[in-house]
Amino acid sequence: MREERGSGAPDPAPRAPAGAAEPDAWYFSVRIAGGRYALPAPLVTEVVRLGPLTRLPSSPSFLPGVFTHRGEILPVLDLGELLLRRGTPPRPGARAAIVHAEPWRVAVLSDEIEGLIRVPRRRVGPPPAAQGAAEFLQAVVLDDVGDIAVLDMGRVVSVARSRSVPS
Amino acid sequence: MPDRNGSTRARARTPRSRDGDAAAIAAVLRAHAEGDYARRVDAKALRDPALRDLAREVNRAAEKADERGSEIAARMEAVRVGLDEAIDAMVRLVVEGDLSGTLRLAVSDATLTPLIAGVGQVMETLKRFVKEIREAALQLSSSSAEVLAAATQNENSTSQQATAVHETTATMEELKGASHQIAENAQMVASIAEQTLSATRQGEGAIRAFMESMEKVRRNAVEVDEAIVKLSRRVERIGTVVEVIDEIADRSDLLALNAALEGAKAGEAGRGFSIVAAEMRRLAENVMESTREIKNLIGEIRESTHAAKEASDGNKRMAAEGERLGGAAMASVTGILTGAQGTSDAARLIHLATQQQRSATEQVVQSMGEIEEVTRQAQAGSRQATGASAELARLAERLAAMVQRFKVE
Amino acid sequence: MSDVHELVLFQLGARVFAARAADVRRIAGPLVEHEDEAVGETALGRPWDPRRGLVVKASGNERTLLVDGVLGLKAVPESDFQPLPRFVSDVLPTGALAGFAMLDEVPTLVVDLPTLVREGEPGAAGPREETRHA
Repeated sequence: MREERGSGAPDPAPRAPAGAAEPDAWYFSVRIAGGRYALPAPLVTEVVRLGPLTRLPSSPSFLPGVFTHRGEILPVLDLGELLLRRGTPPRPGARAAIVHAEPWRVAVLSDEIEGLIRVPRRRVGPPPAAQGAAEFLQAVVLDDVGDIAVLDMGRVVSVARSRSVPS
Repeated sequence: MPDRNGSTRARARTPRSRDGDAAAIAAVLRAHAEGDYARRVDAKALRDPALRDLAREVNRAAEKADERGSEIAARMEAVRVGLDEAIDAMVRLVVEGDLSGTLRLAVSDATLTPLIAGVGQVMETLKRFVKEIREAALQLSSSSAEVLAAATQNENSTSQQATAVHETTATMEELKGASHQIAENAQMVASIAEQTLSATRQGEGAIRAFMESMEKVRRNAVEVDEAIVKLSRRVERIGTVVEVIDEIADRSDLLALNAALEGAKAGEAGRGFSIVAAEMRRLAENVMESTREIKNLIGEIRESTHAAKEASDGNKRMAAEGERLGGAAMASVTGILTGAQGTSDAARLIHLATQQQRSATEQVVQSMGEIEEVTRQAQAGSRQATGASAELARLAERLAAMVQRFKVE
Repeated sequence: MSDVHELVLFQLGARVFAARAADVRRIAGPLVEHEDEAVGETALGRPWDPRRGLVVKASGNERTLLVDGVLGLKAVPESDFQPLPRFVSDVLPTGALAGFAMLDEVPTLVVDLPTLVREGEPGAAGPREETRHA
C-alpha cells in the first residue's frame, strides 16, 4: 500500500481547533546503541523478520542488501551503521521495521524495537543544533522514559547518499 | 793253742818238739800276718836254740812291728786329726766361701806336710778355679747379655723381617688376589668385549639388513617415481585431449549462445533458431559436463599422483635419511667393532699380562713364602737363641752370684 | 512492449546478473581480456576468471564487458520485473542498475549494460542521472 507524501518530511497530524486538547503525537521507537530513536508512527507499516538478503554490488555498509517481503523488494537500512558507524551485522531473522517514508521504502534495522510511543504534543521539541547525529533529526521528544530522537527520513537519505561516494 | 781273746803273751810251757816250736812260731807269725803284732813267741819255751833265736827275732820283729804299728797308729791319729782339721777347714771353705786365708794346721807332723801342701794346692787351685769361674761367669754374663741383646735385636729384626716379609707376602697375596681380580676382570672385559663383538657383529648384520631395506625402499621409491612420471605423462596427455574437447565444447557453447542471442533478438522469427541453438547448447553442456567430470578425475589423479610423489619423495628422503643413519650407525658399529676388537685384544693382552703377572706374582709370592718360612725359622731360631741366651744369661747371673760369695782377695 | 523480455544471464564474481539481450551484440570468449575494448572493472565488481565477454555497443563503440560466464538466455515476463527501490537508486553511486527480475523467486539485478560500460570510461557522466525500469 503506497502513501503519497511530500518530499520526505512527514505531515504532522492536523491541528485541532484552538481550545480543544491537542491530540498526542505517536512515534515508533527503536533503540540503537543505548540511544532511543523514533520515526513518526504513521510511517511504520509493520515489523517483520528479515528474509534472506540479496547483496548489492558497490553497496555502502549501511545497505547490507535487499530482501523480498510479500513479493516486494525492500532495501535494508542499518541505522546503527548509518548514524553511529557501528554496524549491526544483520542476523537472519532479525526484526526490522518497514518504513514507508515516500518515496522511500526501507526495512530499518536496530538493536531493539521499543514500539509505539505516545507523547503529548507539548513534549515535542526542536532538534538541537545540527551536529553529529543531530543532522538526521526533525525533533526531539521527551517521554516518561527519556529523550527520543525523531529521525527525518529525507535528511537520513541525503546523508546516506553523501556517504556512499564511490572510493 | 793261743786263743783269740787271751792274753798277748802266750808261752809254750811244755817243751815241745821242734815241730811244736815251729808251730808255735808259725802261730805267732800267723797272728802277725793277721795283724796282731802283740803276739810274741815264748822263746824260752823253745827247745830248739835256732828256733829260739828265730823266736827272739820274731819277737823282735814283732816288737818292732808293734812299735812301728804304734808309731803308725800315732801318726795316723795325728793325720786323722790333721785331716779332720783340713776337712773342717774345707767345710768352712765351702760353707763360708772363705778362700782368702791359707790353710793353717796345728799339725806339724812332717808326714802330713804333703797332705797339707796338697790341700793347700787344692785350695789354691780352687781359688784359681773360682776366680776363673767368676771371670768366666762375668764374661759369660756380659757375653750372654750381648748375645741376648743381639738375639733380641736379631729377634726384633727377624721379627721385623718376619713382619716385613709377612707384609710383603700379604701385599703379594693381595697383589696376587688383585692380579687375579684383574685377570678375572680382564677375563670379564675380554668376554664382554667378545660379547660386544658378537652383538655388534649381529648389530652390524642388522644395520646391513636395515640399509638393504632402505636401499630397497629407495629403489622402490625410484620405481614409484618412474611409475608416477609415466602416469603423469599419460594423465597430461589425457588432460590435453580433454582440454581440446573442452575447447571445442566451449566454442560450441559459445556458438550456441550467440545463436540463441540472435534468435532472441529476432523475436518470433528467430524462435526456431533459438530452439536449435538451445539444443546445441544442451549438447555442448553435456560435453562440458563430461569433460568437467574427466577434468575432476584428472584433478583427483593429479592429486593422488602428487600425493604418491610426495610419499615417494618422503620415502626417498626417509630412505636417504635411513641410509645416512645406517651409514652413521655402521660407522659407529665399525668403531665399536674396532674398539671392541681393540678392547678384546687389549683385554686379552691384559689377561695375558695379568696371567704373566700372576705367575710372576705367584713366583714372588712363593719366594716370599720361602723367605717367610726361613724368616720364621730364623725368628724361631732367634727366639730360641733369645730364649737360650736369656737362659744363659740367667745361669750366668746365678753363677756369678754364686761365685760372688767366694772371697778370693 | 511485449510481455516477455529476453535476458542474458551472466555471472560476474560472486553474483548472477541479467542484461537485456537487445543490449548484447554478441557473446565473446575466451581470451577476451586481451581485447583492447575489454572492460574489467565496473560497478558490478571484477570477474574472477573472465572466459566470456558481453560485447556492448556504447557511445558508438563496441565495449566488451568481461564476465566469468554466460549462463544463458531467459525469457522473463514483464510481471516478474520490479523497479529498483528508490532508496537504493538514491544511495548507490551507479546508475547502471535497472531493477530486479524475479527468477525463481530470487531477485536478480538487471543491469543496463551500456550505462555500465559508459560509467567506467574516464570523464563519464555522473551516475544517478536516470533511473530506469527494465
